[in-house]
Amino acid sequence: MNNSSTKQIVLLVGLPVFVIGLCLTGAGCGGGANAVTTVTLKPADLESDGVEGATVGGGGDKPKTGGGPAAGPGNLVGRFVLDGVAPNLSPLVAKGATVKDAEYCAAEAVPNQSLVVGDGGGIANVFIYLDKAPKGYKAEGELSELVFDQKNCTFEPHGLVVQVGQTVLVKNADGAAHNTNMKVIRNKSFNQVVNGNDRTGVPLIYEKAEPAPIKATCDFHAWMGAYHLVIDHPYAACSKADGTFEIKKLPAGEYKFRVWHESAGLLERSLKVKVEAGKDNKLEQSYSIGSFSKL
Amino acid sequence: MSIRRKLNILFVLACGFLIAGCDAFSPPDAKFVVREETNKLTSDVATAVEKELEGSFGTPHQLVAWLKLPVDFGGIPGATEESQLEGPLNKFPVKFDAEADGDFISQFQTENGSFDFGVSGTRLDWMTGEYSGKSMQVIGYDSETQLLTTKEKVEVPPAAGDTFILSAGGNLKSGRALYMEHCLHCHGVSGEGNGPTAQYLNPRPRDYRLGQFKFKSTKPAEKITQDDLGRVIKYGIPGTYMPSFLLLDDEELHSIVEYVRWLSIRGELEYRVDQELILASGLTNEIISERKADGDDAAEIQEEVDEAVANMPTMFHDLGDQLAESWVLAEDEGSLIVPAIPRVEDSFESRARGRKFFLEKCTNCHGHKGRGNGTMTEDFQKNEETGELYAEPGLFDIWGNPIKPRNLTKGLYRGGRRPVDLYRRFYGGIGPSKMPNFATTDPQTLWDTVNYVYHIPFEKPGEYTEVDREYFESKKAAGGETTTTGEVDESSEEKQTAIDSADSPNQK
Repeated sequence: MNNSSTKQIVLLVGLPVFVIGLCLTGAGCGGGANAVTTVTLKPADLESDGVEGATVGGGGDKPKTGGGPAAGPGNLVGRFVLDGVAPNLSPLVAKGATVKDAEYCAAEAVPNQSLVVGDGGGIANVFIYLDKAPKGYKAEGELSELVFDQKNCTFEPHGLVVQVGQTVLVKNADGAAHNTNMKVIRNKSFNQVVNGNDRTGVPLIYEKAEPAPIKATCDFHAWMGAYHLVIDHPYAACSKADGTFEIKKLPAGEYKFRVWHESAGLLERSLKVKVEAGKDNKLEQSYSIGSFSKL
Repeated sequence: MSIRRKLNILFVLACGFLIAGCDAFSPPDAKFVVREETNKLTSDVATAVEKELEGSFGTPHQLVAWLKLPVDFGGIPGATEESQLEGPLNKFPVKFDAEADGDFISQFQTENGSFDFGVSGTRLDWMTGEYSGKSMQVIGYDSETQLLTTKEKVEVPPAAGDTFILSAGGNLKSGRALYMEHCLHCHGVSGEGNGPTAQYLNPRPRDYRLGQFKFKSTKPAEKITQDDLGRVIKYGIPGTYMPSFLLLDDEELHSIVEYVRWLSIRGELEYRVDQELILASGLTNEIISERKADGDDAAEIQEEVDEAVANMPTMFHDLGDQLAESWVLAEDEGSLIVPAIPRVEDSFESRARGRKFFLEKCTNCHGHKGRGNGTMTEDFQKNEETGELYAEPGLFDIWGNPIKPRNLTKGLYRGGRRPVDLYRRFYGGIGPSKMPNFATTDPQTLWDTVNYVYHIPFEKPGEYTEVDREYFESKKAAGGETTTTGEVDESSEEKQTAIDSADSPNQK
């Protein structure tokens, strides 16, 4: 038998077998699309889903009033201090630098606010807040309007405590437009061009509390950054330039506070604080430079 | 000899295919991928998340239709009618919902008028009443008496008005089959945008799992609509690898749209749950070991973990409700971007006004001439996840993929080329690509800009010289002219030429 006839025979027999084989595997091994699928139903509501005694939200801290007659509120007054030498951070944009919209953005040096340390080592822009509203908390009175401004391509203020439903007017003091973009987690997106010299402001209202402070950025000027702490109660503060803060009218009791800074993340997850009625309860916390690991 | 040997090998291989069959060659089993964030959670919590996800959405082979979600899972809804029959029985009168009646007939009635429910019957799921949550197998139906026959007999007949769904989940099932056939190879099993072919594509296929899409007709903060997804699937996205699926019939298209929405909700729910557990509760391995190193009480941490695990079903229901609400809201009339005034008639004056708006707001990215080469494409942007600058200059979308602003001289618009599509693109922005929205700009200016942008591909040299000169001079007069609005390569030169040529008559 010569080579060519062998070839012919093998082709005659082999090829069809090969093709049939491929077809069979193709048909039978479709896997994805043609595999048998079943659909089962899951009820829409929690009760019929077989979950019993589920506690919604896990519950906040409850002030312990010690059994006696309900005590009045007290204030929490305190300060955050840096233990160590403040780092010397160079500005994000030097004065007169050639950047976009330099006329406004480089008119003054844009400070690096990732760790602002004031006189006596006070740390600014530290958020201290209750994770959840104390049980029995009810909102009272109207919420004032807040202003979140943009000047010299820097957000002002750098740290802002906002309550759910409170109006924040996002303004612009620069001649150039900013595109304010909030990195929301639970809320609807806010990604808005704020025209140059807009002194009326674009209203920003949060509908839900955020799990942690959220960042404000400007898509036009990449260095710009600030933080909003969005909560559904008034028991929070952001420390001032000298590191001090004040939370007013806390119902007396024991609380676990969270302490957060942009360059550290959570400094405290559950800082235990006892608030006594009718007085300024003092708190001083110091943190080493090593705590600010994101610097 | 060598040819013969090769052919012999071929022959043996062919036989091998037949003998080995599917076991050796079948593709790996389809699985929903787990998010990276979920894997960062401490193991008890991660397991609870995965378990709850599987309970709410199932696996690619055993799908779960979570009735909370605003997705058309398919099925024929109906209710039992008043009857005098007493148990034990397996027949009861029913009435199908008016709009589903036709589906019932077309699905189960045979040519000779009888009804066929398959060899093992068709599943019926009770939604309310005595048998709520249970299912039965339907084996027959009499169109005259409207009596449905089930395989099993029950002592107590279902009460009049008890609702049920026959053959539930059919739409989800067919959506899945079509998705696996047409979409999976780019978009991946879970809609994570990372199917086998994804790595070869630029732009990358969409990852649905953030619940965000680029080309939608709704207001900036709202979700995409069924119609928007349908349009993208039907006509594809010009300038990308997303092809047109015009040959799918309406029913198939609907099934795919619903399956994509379902995958998107599944993905976003996992993402949102992870965000809560990481940002609010800090239950990652990393944070927990840090806390332990700091001397936090291990028992207290375990308590937090246990609480999170116990709370998982509630968390899924709460976040599921929120997502369901947002997808329902997207279909609401008020969510749609509808121009407040009809299109402004296209004229040079209108285009010139549009050109001024373009110079004011768009040139940073799209460039002075709309070529997609504004200064932002040369700037280093900050990666919001890490806080570091990207290694490469240019723009990035929320998925971290490098993107280019559209070159408007080509006349190719990914979000559709109808005037209203461009209007909606300006009004709503493109959230995921960071194109800002201009929802607060007056509608006339937006229409002027539509007219201008439409005309860019046909622009004659120097057509807007006068307009540009006026714009830059008024800026200068207001003390606001900046030198950074031009495009990268030739803007300043062109601007200079523009001003020169405008000045030249005076010089003469």
